[in-house]
Amino acid sequence: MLKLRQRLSQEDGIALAVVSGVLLVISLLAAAVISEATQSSQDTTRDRNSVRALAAAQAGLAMANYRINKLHPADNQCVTNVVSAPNSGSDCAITESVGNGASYTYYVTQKIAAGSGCQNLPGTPATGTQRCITATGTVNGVVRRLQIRVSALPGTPPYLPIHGFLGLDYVYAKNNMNFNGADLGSNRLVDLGNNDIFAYLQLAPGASCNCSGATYSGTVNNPSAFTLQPVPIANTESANNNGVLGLGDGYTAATRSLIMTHDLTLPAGDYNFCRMDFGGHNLSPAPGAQIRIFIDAPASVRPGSGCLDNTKPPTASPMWGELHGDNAASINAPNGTAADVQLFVYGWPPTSSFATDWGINTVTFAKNDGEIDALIFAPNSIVNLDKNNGTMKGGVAGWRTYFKNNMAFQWDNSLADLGKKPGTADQKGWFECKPQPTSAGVPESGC
Amino acid sequence: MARRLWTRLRRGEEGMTLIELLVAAVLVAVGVLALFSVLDGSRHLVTTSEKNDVAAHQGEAEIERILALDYSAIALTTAPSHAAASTDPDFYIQASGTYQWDQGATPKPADPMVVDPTAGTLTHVSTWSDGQSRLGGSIYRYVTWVDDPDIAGTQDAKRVTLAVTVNNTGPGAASNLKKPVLVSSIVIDPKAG
Repeated sequence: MLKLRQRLSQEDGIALAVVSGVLLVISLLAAAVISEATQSSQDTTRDRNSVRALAAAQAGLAMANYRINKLHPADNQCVTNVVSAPNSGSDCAITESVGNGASYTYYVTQKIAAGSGCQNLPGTPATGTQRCITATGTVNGVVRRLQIRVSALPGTPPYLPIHGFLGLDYVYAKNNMNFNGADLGSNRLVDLGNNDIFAYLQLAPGASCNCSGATYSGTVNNPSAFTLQPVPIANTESANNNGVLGLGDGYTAATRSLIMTHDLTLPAGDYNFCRMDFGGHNLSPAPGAQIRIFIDAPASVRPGSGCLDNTKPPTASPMWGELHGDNAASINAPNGTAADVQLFVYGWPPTSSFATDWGINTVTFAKNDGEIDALIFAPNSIVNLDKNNGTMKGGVAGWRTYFKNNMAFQWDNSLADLGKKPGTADQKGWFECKPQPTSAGVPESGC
Repeated sequence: MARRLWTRLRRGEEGMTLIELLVAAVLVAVGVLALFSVLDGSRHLVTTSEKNDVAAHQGEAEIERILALDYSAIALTTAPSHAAASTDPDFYIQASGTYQWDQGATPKPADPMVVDPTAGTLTHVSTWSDGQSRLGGSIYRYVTWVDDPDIAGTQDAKRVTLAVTVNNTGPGAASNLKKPVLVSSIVIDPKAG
């Protein structure tokens, strides 16, 4: 003990010992600083990759949703980059790059029952074809995982629910009518005469047919009443192609009135008139063009239409909101493609006060030996096709429809899917999941 | 000479303390210098990390903003052009007007840009500044068409790519971000069907 105190009191070499201690402390400090900085850098890199991985997962959800909408898988199918049909309960999965080291993998279920799967997602819809999409975004090993539920409501049916001639309330076809294999249908009554020839009679529940003397292939009983989709007239009162017409054509821009003064060939596009009269002339689309003509309704019927109201009783001829194709009027589409000329009449409800004041909206085509190639879609109107030995190629849907006098009608298949839109899958919920599924083999788990 | 010094050292004689102090001072100086070097490197690393961090969050906020826009509004208002400097994000715009959205891939994938002066709402470049970190920089926006080969048409979706840069001025200017932070996602037309 004494020797140690003596040696310490001599203080020889103590400076080096102290310096060694200081250096040790410095080394520890440096190591701590390096460790902290490195950790901070790694955290930042991870954070940056996490942000990018989240964006990549969002891209995966979007592409899966898009492919469902475009590829329309059946209920027992799902989508990778194409429609696929895995075993029941299995998912479709695909991995794709977003670029710069980021990628996504998405898993799409087959149709799931409402309220099942994606259990934690809010906004659970009760209807529609529902699927669960789970997408992982990966960047340099950093994973973010998202899940959405999509629900696709039934699509929009075509303008014409039957291939031929539909009168929601009534179909009248008499005197040697030849429908050349087209169908006739109604929610209430089909009234035929002797020697009428057509394909199938399509009747809604409770509807009937005076079919005595007619020749047809049989009756199809529709499970529910026929309905027609709304006239797709929105915004055409302002966004239209009317500008190609002038006074010389019989067009008055201020009232959007077209009383044709000569034959017209119209370029492709939408046209919106408050009334239209063929004046016995011919209307054609330009070669290769498809035209849609909307006969708008008075503003009291369709607010914002900008069309004049009729007086009570109406004095305008034709009445505002009506379409007249008088004697010798015709519509000739190149190659007889009816879809190239689409006539839409908005009209007014046939049992409304407007009908009381102005009469039921009426569409009239009357011609001898002429031809009409068109779709006529007038859910609120009486459609008269009174033609002696005339022909029509296309399809008709109206409230009441009349064919008379040896007219020949031919269904044009270009109208079969016109107006039809598939149901698109909308996102109904969004959830961020744990980075990895909690159950092996169940990509939806952990959400 | 050396023999005499060794002899004195062995004997623990006078002058020894001074030498010890000199050696100690040198060692401490080397240690402190090393510590400063480490601190400087660490500061550099932390500053770069902060820039990366702030840039990433600028990118995150911007991509979320863009994904919330109407589909038609997700388009550039003007067409950007190629930049010669490889450090410029516009370097990846090609003469044909396409943008190379994956800068590391071979072959280099490039798609046409979506430019719509009428409906588009995205300016190609804008500046940002972050009050908390006192950092600022630019966001370069690129919108390109996605062509899904299994679906008809060539304009199936829009790919949004953001390149976020940090201006190298002010404190920590030396700690440059060698590359911008790139954030990419894809947006679809919800009405497409």
